[in-house]
Amino acid sequence: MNWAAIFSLDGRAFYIWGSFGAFAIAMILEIILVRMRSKRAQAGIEEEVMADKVKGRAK
Amino acid sequence: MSLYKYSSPAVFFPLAGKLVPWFTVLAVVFFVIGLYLGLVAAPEDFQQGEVYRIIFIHVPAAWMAMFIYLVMAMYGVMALTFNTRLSAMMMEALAPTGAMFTALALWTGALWGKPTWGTYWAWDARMTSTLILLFLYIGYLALVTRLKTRSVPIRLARCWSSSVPLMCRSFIFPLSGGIPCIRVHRCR
Repeated sequence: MNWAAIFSLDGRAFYIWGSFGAFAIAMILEIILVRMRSKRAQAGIEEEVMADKVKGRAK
Repeated sequence: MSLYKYSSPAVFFPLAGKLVPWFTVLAVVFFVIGLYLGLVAAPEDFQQGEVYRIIFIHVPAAWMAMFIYLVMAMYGVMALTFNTRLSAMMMEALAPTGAMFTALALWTGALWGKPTWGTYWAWDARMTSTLILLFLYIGYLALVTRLKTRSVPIRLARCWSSSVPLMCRSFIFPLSGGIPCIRVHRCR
């Protein structure tokens, strides 16, 4: 299979690369979004732990 | 030793953090093997030609869409029965990924449908239930991000776990006859 064949794929390139392209974009986005969510979740836990400590002291 | 201690995010997060690099390596290895098998090793389909290769991302995406839904329901049940903080957090964390895979399944399905069935979209049971699944994910995300109180995820967990039989029934039965027939030269 040469490069021209890979880009044309019997004239179905739009469907195949459209699918694989969307998949690639989704995977890259997923990595970025998961990192953001993870940071936010950890910050949330830290806040809660701090709040619990403050409450404990107040008691 | 009790596994219950991992239901506390403060105990679970350090463990998860240690496991992340290992899972990343595994994911990359399987990713490369999967793409090689799907794009290079697998022969052309004798009826559909090259376009059938969409199956290698369409089906896993649809699987993940349903699997994440079920895992969220499982966490929903755990959040209801044990009232653990981590369960509700896991539901929240999984929802965007589930929505992404559902959207990906719909998108790749449409791009596969056009050259094989002649249409991007038909209101058949499988496609419609996948679309409803996407709306469920979006609805959940909208509620969770809008209403930031602890009781909301619990209430949502109840709805989520009770809707599983509905989604499974509408999905699994049509699934057996749904995927365009794949035949490979080697098998004939």
